[in-house]
Amino acid sequence: MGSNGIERLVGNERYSKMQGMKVLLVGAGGIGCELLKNLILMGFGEIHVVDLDTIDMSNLNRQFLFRQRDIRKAKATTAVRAVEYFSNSKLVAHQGNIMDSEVFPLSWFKQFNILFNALDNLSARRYVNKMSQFLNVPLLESGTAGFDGHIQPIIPGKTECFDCTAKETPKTFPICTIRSTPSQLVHCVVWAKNFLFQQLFGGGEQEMPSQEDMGTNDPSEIERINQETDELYQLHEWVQYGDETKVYDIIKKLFVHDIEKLLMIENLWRTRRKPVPLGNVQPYSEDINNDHHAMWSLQDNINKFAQSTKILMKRLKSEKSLEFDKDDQDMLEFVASAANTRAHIFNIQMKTVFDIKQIAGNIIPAIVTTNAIIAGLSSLVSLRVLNLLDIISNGPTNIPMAFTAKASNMSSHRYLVAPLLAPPNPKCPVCSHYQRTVITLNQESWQSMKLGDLIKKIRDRYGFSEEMSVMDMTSNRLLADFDFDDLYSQTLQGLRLNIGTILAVSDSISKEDDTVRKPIEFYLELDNLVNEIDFPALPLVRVIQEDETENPEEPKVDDGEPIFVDNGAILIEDEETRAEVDKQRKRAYSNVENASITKRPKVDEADAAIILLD
Amino acid sequence: MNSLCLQRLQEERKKWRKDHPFGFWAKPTKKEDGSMNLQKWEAGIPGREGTIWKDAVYPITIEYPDDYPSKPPKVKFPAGFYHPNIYPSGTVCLSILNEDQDWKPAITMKQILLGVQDLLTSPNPDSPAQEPAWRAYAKNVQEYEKKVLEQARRYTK
Repeated sequence: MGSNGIERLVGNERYSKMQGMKVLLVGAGGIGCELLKNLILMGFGEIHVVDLDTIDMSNLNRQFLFRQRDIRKAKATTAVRAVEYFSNSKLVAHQGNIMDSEVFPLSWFKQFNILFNALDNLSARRYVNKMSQFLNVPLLESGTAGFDGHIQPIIPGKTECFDCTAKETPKTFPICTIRSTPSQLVHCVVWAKNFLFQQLFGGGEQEMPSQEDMGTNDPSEIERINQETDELYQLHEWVQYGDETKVYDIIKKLFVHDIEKLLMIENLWRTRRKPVPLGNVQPYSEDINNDHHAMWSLQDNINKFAQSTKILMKRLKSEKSLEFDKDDQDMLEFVASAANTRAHIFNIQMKTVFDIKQIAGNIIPAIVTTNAIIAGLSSLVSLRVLNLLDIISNGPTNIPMAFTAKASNMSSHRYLVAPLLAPPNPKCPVCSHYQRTVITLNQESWQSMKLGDLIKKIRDRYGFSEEMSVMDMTSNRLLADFDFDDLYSQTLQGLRLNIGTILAVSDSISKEDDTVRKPIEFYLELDNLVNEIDFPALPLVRVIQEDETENPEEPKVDDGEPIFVDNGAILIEDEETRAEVDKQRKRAYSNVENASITKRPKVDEADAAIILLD
Repeated sequence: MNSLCLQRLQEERKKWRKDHPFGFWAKPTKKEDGSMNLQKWEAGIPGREGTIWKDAVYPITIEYPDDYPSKPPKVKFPAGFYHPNIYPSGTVCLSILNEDQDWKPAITMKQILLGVQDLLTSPNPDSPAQEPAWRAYAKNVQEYEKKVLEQARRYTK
């Protein structure tokens, strides 16, 4: 039924083209479930679904292809089974990691006309983006975070790729702020979770010096260091071997003595409000407040801190060391009560356990409506990316991406903003930096060829200098460069340069003209039909090596003049939106379900309201 | 796999080779398989001449996170290193290494190492990181200098 609608929209000819198309859907979660249904109803010929996850109870409120009976089953296969009865498409489910190049080599990706990302993490997004760049196959990127969402069509070589704009990653806090001068509740939560909990129950490796890296053999010095770090150990010892009576000592140390010590450092408090050590507080074991949605009093927090510490001490005896898990009630209550008590001391507003759970677990609630809207946009825009619509000029940079706006206050006028796609960022470390090709070897040369031989072949074939460097991007290691040839005599097999390894080869600046051969990324394939080794030709491009550390360009400010485009539409700059879009994109999304897009170095797209002139 | 991070670290390696300040050394660590790990370096910082830190080269490690250069690297001395702004674990507390303060993606390894050298001789009394050195520095200069000299002897060039 849906197919008929699409058929009318695109016409018979293109519709039958769609029925011959293969698409890849990466991720069968919040967006993926919605998108799978859409792609089937649109009538694509063959749909492959990849997901490595299994279904969790917490998925059921929004991933509608799953039911309670499906818990712990593979997402990809379950999703496919749920939609089979209304599908005219051929469906193929794969339970696996999309970055596993043994299961999903580049040659496998080659079969698809378009890739859809419905992912929840940055590294898989980056990986699929790279595959799309290697193969020159379009990618539809999407993500949501709470009420916010976005889609971004990526047409290799024509539009910005996923990495053309910097992605903001979760904020890290300087150790000084966490340990000495917290000013927000989140600092106290990080202290409680990453420092205190780790110290007491996690084996405390983070901040505990080991014998080897003391940097000295002098016994008296070692003794001094040990003395100094004793305090760190002391807490750990208390919870490890002590009994319940130690809990009071722990409270005293953390919330009274340590604070008094901080207070002695007068300089810290010249411009800050001084913390106030706890007075004479006793934890009580009756009247414990267990309501995670209520605002606890200081006494409630201290009672809970004592109670949860005791429980965790007991658990430590049987479990050896504990790893923080936001869904573990004892751990959550420990972290929440410790963070709140510390917050009280530093005059910071306390929060409920429920709120602290979101901070500690970096949780932004996933919202099914946002997912459905984003999946809808993703499938709709794919028609334009695949050139299936007869509309206004269809150049790649005339296709819109989309961001939700209203819910995130990006604009008070409308729900979505749809800036047009920008061309690739010339400074992009992924799409602009490299030429890309595949090196194919047969089994025998893979086993016997030495790294030095491969390097020489690449150098001769592509015109690199003696100073070229070879980086294994798959396992982040430098294999050779101007000052490092130790591995030349090792074989490719010995170096574990397996199928799917991505090698980045780049050159040093030449003395004559300050240009270098443009870097190349090679994808390694194995094929026994190949005679020794196969290198496809690439145009020889020399580039001026830019100083990477120069200050990035200041954002260009547009003057707000209307921009006329050739299709009879006027794009009107929306100043309010412009500033907000940029701000919005800077929000840290990357550790959130399905989320991603953020910072743009330049404001260069027409971020506009479209008014059609009839 | 963050391309920007690795590209930038290769740049840093080239730059360091072309130009580095006298008395300093820095090299990437090696992984078990013999390849180089550009995300973790070892380096030596000479104490400035004419100060109590002189005649020694202090070892540090520099760890670059995947988000480098958006995020700063982490610089560590050996655990227990005696200095007011160095945590008992050896972690250096320095504004240019702090994302919230003065870190900028354009800061190079050379600038970091010179910054740390500078920190050795000019501690910042406003950001104490360990008690013994901080207290001695503030209250008992003789004791402070004695400890620093003792430490310098252990890292003699």
